[in-house]
Amino acid sequence: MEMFFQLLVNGIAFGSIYAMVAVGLTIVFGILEVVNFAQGEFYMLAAYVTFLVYLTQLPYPLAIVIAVATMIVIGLIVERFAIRPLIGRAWQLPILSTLGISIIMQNGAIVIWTPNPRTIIIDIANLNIHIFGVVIVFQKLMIVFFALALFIGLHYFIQKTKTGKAMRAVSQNKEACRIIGIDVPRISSITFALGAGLSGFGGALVAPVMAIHPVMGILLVLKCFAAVIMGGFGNIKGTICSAFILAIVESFAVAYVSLQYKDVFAFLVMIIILLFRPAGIFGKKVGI
Amino acid sequence: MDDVILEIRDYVTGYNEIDIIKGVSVQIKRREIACVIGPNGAGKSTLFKGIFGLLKARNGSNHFDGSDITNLSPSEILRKGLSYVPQGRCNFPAMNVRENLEMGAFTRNDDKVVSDIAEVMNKFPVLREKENEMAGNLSGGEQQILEMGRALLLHPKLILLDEPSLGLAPKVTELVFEKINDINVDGTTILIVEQNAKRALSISHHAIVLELGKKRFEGTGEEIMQNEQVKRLYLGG
Ligand SMILES: Nc1ncnc2c1ncn2[C@@H]1O[C@H](COP(=O)(O)OP(=O)(O)OP(=O)(O)O)[C@@H](O)[C@H]1O
Ligand SMILES: [Mg+2]
Repeated sequence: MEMFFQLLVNGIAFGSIYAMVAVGLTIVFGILEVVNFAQGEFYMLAAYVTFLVYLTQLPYPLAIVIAVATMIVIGLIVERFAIRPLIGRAWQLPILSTLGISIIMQNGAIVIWTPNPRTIIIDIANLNIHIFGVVIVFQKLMIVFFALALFIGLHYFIQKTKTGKAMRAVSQNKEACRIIGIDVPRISSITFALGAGLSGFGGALVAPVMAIHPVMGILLVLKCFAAVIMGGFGNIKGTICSAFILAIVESFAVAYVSLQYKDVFAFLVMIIILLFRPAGIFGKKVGI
Repeated sequence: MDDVILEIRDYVTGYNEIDIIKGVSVQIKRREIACVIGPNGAGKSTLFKGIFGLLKARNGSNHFDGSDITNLSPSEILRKGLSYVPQGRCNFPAMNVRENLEMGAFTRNDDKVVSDIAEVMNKFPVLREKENEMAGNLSGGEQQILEMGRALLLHPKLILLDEPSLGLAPKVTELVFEKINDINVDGTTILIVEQNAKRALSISHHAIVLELGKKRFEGTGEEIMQNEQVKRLYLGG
């Protein structure tokens, strides 16, 4: 039974990370209609920024803030120069563009920081907490806590604020936005930056508990794509639930089935779900 | 000249290489209801898209309320007080009625938005009844009224209404026409495109018949309705 809870907690912690990165993908897809292949690299770069800031002896929470802010700024730049000029042209162009950026970022990271993994040692992050016989690393609790707070905040933002409502409006009907004066490019830019920030937050949170290396975003982003597809493209709630399902299944499968095939399970789950629910777990939905 | 709110002069526009509107000149007077009728494919919707800045002018000019709007963007034209309600449904189906109206006021930053939404709901009580209903779940007529209400939130001086009665049952069409008349009585100029030509002519002060991108006839609503040629060609005898 303890093993069960241990695995569940692990699954939830990784699910939180998958969900953050995947929600970023899903809102960008829902609003810009762009598949952002560079999403995993925002995660990777944020982990590096956290590492670099931490080296300067600044406290870890500040490193998180700086990492997220940096990703937001990079996100704004990428949207402005690599995506916006391609919107309204062939749909493949923005995809190729984000793919290109992803490759540049990975290789840039290899050149700057070498392929050798880096680690951050933060004593409190690695503290073992015992709850009913289950041992949980403190940082994993933090990850779950921040993820939940983030999702509640995001829900409020999208449902209640003027900008959030405009994001929904853009995802539902761009033509209608244009005729009432909603600035679609501006909303797209905010959305892309938000997506990059979410991914960056994930990267900053895992920095103390995972090896930081240039290709750490690749497998993660593929699993996040699986969550986005399974959640029903552009559906935030579906994406979050799917991310948790994938991570929890993965956590159990690694323990009970096979460690070698760790990265296969997420995709298996996606395929099985799609066989039964082709439009995603929550079915079809208009906009985000 | 001052009572002319919209002046279109030798206007040419179209898509790709093809000109659809081939030199149209029209003057719309302040506070009137004017209508454009004509067969399918005449270019009525294209004319509206052009006026609203969704298409580039290829020749001629549009002046609105004393300024040249020929090559302004839709958002600039909107800011000058010209709103557009396109043909077919054009709302946010997964947002409720109130949110749809709020989006209509998106470009405003004043604190009167809430009271203006209340006013629109007074004018169109069905919108208050369905305030929390998703726009996509409203009937076609209710959605049309929602879109007209949404356009009013920017207090436009002129509204372009493209086929407001399209696909509506006769009784609902009647209601929509009543609302259009109400909006006009409140002081807003209306330019309307209608399939339902007879009904539109009956509330119009001014009417234009468009065919193959050119103006074929022009007159008061009454004149056009009585015109033998128009009757034969467009009003079904
Ligand atoms: N987006 C577009 N791209 C290319 N051609 C178009 C486009 N929209 C309309 N057209 C063409 O322009 C012509 C005029 O179309 P328009 O929609 O303005 O006609 P309309 O008078 O509004 O007709 P209806 O009564 O059917 O609404 C048609 O021949 C149509 O095929
Ligand atoms: Mg039309």
